[in-house]
Amino acid sequence: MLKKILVANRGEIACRVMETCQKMGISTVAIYSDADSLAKHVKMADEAYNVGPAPTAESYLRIDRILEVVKKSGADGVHPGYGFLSENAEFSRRLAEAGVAFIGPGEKAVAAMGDKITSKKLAADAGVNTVPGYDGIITDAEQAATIAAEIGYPVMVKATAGGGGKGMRVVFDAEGIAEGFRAASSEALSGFGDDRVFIEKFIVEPRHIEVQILADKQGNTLYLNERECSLQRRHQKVIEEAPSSFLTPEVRKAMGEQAVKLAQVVDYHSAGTVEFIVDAERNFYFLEMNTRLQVEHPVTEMTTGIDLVEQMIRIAASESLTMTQADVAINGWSIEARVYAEDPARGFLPSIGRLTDYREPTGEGIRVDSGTYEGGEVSIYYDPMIAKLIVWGKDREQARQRMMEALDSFDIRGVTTNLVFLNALVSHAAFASGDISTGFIGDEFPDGFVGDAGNQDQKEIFAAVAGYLRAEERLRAGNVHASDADSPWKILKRVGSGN
Amino acid sequence: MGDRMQFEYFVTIMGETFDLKVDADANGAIIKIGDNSYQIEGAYQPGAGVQTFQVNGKPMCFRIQQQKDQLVLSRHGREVRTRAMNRREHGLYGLMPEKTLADTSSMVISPMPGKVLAVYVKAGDKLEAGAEVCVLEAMKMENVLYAEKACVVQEVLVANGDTVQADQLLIQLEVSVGEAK
Repeated sequence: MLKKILVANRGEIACRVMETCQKMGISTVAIYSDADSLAKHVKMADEAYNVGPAPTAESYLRIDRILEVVKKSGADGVHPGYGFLSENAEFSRRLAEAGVAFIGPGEKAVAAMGDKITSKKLAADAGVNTVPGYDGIITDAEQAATIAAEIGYPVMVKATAGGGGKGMRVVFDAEGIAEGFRAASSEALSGFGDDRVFIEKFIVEPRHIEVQILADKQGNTLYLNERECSLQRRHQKVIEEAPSSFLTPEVRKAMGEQAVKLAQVVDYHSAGTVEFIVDAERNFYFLEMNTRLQVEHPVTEMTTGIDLVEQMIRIAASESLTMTQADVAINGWSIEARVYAEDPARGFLPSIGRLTDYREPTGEGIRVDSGTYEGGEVSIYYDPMIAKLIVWGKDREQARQRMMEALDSFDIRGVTTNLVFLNALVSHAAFASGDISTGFIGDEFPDGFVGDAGNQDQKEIFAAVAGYLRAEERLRAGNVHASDADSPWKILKRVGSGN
Repeated sequence: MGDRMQFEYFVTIMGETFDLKVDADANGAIIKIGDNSYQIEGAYQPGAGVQTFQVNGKPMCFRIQQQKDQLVLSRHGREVRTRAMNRREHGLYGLMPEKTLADTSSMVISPMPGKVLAVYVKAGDKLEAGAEVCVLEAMKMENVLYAEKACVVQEVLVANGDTVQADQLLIQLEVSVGEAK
């Protein structure tokens, strides 16, 4: 077993990984940038090393500096978290050269799945359903038109190196194909320095459903069922859940088995995710494979009872899986909401600042993965995600109700957050009935999010509460004595902020 | 402690006013809105960002933000700006001049509170873009307001010597109707 693990990441995922290390009795090493010297992951770790200035390219992405820290600290394993160096083949190769375990898949899997065209070919060869399309590189608009006509409109022109919605164009008819081709390739060139594009069928009202897999180095590969991540805003996941309300047991099994086949083709070991797009008839098509721990992994942990980070560590230490496919069950329902420091009323612009108040919700079935604390800062240098709020319930409706209550009681002040927006999504009648697709947020909130007062009954309750607060304030003004006065710090702060 | 008090409040939510009869003590209150009655319980914590109350016996958590003289309340993805006033405050609010905010492209609007020193136009005048329409005095400074585009003056709403509010509509214009066709 590994003795000391360096976590090459920051924020909530660094804390999440360290929590499991501590549970397993493994020492932890943190790395941090100048901006993060007081961060929660630094305080949690047994040792911490500065790896450079705030910009990620000068700190968290510096392979050479991280390798130095590995050497200095004597760590025998490195967990990359997600993002940063988690899917960097050079990083895992150089760790291997240094005789240090990379807690993730092998170089072959990372390289094969890192390229969209290669991975789609591999998937098709392995018998995995792929979106009808043309695997080759499109060289000009004429060729694009011919191929699009063969596939049938609507089609999507997509950059090989693309991601995050860049270098993608949906074309609905033959008239738009030349412009779609031109726009996608020029965006790809400026965004990724690579103008290669391909064409595939565009799925209408698609749902994003992904399969978590777990594989050891001995060749045992399991699927830990699915997560549905259809609620997305500009291709960024916002709400995730497990299981999916859309899948039948038969489709779940078929997706799981195809995901396992794909993993086996690339000798996959560790935790990984095979993403599928599912159409209204429950036809599913391979999208891509993520060769790392996913942001939304907790909903799988909550419904399977399996600690994915622990399994990744055990696999990296060459232990074999102790469970079989038959042991993997789905227990209840789990939903995750990504809490961001952003302003939904202003086009979701990031909101920067200090968390003057920060209190996480507590209660049955509530889990919060966060990398911050009261007084912590949301800086311009990193992703403005404050926390992931995860709830578990015995069924979807209980989980949903718990999420609505937990979102309401999450007290974050000092920065603007998306908490009310998240709750508007989870409270939405269409979400309650499971009637969602990746277009949901764009369709329901075409002009962004503005607070909605609700129906007359709901307005009346708000009015009653407003009146209640005024009455209680009035009563209190006549009754204040020292013991129940507010903390002087709070009073100073309120005065200082002009409230 | 233990005293009961009765209040009458007017709560506005997005332009709608609710008339509340509140019978409260330090631990809770019975609030009547028309024929509906709400029993609310829960200690009041000044400055709390979220607070749970029992509303008709059901626990409900609210997010509470004070923004100037308004309370922003939210729950389950709904969000409202509320202003709770007593009878006198409510009466006075009724006297506050209504701010006209709308399509401002055909309006000359006061950029600040001040006094009208001169109006150079009258209804029916045809103006070129950039024509001077009036002069406002604020903080002892004279500010000339101009027509943004070619237009016809529809109505002049102020006269020399009038005191005006920020954002108040001063002159209504008609933007070249002929051109638009």
